[in-house]
Amino acid sequence: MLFNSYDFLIFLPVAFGVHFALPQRWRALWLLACSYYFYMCWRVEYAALLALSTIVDYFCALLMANATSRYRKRAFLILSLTVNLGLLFTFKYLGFFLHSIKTLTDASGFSADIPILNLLLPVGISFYTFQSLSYTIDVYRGAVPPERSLVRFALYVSFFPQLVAGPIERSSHLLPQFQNPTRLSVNQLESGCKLILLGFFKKLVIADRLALYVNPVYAQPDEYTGSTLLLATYFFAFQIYCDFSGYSDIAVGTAQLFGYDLRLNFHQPYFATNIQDFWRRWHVTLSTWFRDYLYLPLGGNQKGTGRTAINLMTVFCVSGLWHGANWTFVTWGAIHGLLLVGYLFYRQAIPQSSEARDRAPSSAVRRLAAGILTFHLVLLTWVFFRAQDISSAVGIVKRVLSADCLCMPALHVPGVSARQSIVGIVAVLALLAFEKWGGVDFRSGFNGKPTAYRWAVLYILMLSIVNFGMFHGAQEFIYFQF
Amino acid sequence: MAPRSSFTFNSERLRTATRWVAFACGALVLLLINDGYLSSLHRKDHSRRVSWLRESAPQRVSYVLLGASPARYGVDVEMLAEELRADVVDLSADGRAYPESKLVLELFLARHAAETLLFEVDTWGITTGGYSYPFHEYEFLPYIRDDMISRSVAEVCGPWRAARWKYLPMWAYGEFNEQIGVASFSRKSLLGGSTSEVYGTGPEVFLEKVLPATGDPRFAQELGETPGEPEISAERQRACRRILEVARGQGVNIVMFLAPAHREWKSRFPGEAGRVAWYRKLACDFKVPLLVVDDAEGFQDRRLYADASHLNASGARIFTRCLAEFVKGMQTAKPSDARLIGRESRGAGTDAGEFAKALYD
Repeated sequence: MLFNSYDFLIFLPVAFGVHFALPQRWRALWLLACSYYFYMCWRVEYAALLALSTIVDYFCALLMANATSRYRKRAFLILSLTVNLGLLFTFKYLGFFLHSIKTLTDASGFSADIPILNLLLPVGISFYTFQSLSYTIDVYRGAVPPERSLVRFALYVSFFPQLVAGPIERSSHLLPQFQNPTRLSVNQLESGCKLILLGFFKKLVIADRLALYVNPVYAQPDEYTGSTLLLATYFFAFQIYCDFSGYSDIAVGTAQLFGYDLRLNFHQPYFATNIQDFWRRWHVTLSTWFRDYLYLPLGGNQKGTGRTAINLMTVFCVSGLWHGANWTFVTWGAIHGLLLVGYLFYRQAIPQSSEARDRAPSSAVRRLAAGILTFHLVLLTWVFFRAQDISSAVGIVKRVLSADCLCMPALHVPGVSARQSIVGIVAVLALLAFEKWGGVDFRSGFNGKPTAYRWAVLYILMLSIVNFGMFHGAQEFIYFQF
Repeated sequence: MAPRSSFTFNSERLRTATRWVAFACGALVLLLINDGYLSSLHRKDHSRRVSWLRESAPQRVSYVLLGASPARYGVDVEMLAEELRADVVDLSADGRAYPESKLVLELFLARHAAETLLFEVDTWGITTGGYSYPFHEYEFLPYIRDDMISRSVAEVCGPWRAARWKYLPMWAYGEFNEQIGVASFSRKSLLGGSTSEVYGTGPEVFLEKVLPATGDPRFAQELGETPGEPEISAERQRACRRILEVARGQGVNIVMFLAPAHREWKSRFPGEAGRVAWYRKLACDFKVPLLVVDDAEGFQDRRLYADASHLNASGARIFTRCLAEFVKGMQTAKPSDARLIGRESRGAGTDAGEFAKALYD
């Protein structure tokens, strides 16, 4: 079920109404039923994978807690890792690896009869396996106690607002909330509705509109000039941001309606002033997952600069692979890794504290320049993220950097009028302005603004969605494919 | 202290409730204003077919042309009006299946009067594969509160969808904002400028609707993309019958015609002859003349076609003359005259074909 579907429009009020009509002890079970229904609307049989992952991790955690020896404890952790990563590998990466091996053997002259698998990727598998894994690892580390209730644990893995595209929650944050009774809070209700409204604005008005331009251009990049490709890449940068952060806003807002608090996933990422800052603002729950469960166990930054660089590269290549079974994603991750390593060396070469930099007379100009540079470095990586393959991405970068880029970009491409493109651009600029100065993420100071301002913002969002939202040919959220 | 704290508690809740109600009322008012503004723009915009049907001054015309793309591109309305020395209103539009054509005719006849309906029937019109978007519901939604439109939309799209379009402000304009919402209007019309009236009678009705004579490449392309044999749709057959019933019910004479399609195209569909036979039977049932020129030699030259199933400007001129001759022949007889049917079945098609061939040669 998509958030931007009529089904969800009926599903949400029913789930909400029944949830608060039920006694406390039945609410978790009701939400669990809702979550499985939500997932099964996509494909019934793949709910079994979700259930398998849940049951294995539930029992592994309990057995780990009761294990008498460190060896047994580790064995249960390995079982949990094997099952979760095995599912992920089989459904997401096996076909990709077989295809890569076949390509390699064909290129080297060996003819190997390798089958090509085309398994349908279960929606959200990367998200729920990571969420479930973080729980067993935390239990293994002794950071959280095992959850005794199977219903609560199953709900933690499958909670429908964040099931298919995050935010990737931690057991220490979400599980205790399921243990406590929920109350209908007006403040949470208001805050949830605002976030849902903002999420739909980002998704329907900006992301889906920009997709109309991006899709045909990236489908046949050879037919467009460098400037049009550049414009499409700018559009994609905002498309993916609005698509994913829009989803996260709807997810967090929906959870708030039910009285639960999910973690922030985005914090104005395109206002980052360096690449490290960007990763503190972009897909925060995934970044922190990799930090806590991969980067730090590898040694983090505690084993010298060389080892830190290797760790960063490893984490970002794996992060790229997490996004999708394609070399374009690995390259995307590798470029981000390289940028972070470059930034690491830059910081070591100029060991000036950030406070000292900020006191410099030109700090505002410097921050602006740093912000623009960071944004364009990120933009470069989006080319690899969006392109069909590596050679296509390289071709796009070459054309963008050629003299071809000096001509006017086409605002009109097949299926998109110039007016639609302009509406998209205006909406992006409005969103950025609101994010920067208007507190429109509804968290930082929005409630302190005058009522007239707050209501005006909400009415503008509502009317923009109604008048400029893309309701036909509703597009899936981009991160569903991961 | 207890009563005071209780009062505070209640007043806080009351304030919250008041705030919510005020916000919701504000939202509703804005949606109603937005809805009303767009509806008023539609009423002024006579370049839209349904707006013209609903808002133009009542008139009595001699001929109404109804049909889909074969009529739109295959009939030169200006020339037809000259040939018939009468006014012709062109209600044909691309990709419109019979349920929509029926509603268009009903709307026209509810406000205007016509003597004769020139009804283009298409062998794909009674199939499910004929039109990718057979009912353009959004064109009618600005007038969804009209009973006739509401009933037809509910029939085709379902009562629930029709109800939300009808009763929830801005739902229809939101769902179809690209087609009928703010985005569909030019800046000039949004600021209050009027749009020109493009539907009407006489020479001005001819709306640059002639397809370019692109010739062989497009023709070959269409032949290369031949779809499978279409399935007959009982619903569309019923709608086609209903069109005849509506016209007959209002005392309008009817002339049915099948616009030409190239033989190479038709030969790919074995069911074509059966579908033509269905129309022949329909014409017999209603005692309505039917012009069939499909098999005529004169229309087998590729140079008359824009693609395999649509005439170009040259083809349209020839076919229009054909149609005009056929209609003139009917004018002296009543629609119920059995001789007309006999005349058609004896070979009006062949006559027209020979006529076209002679014109073209």
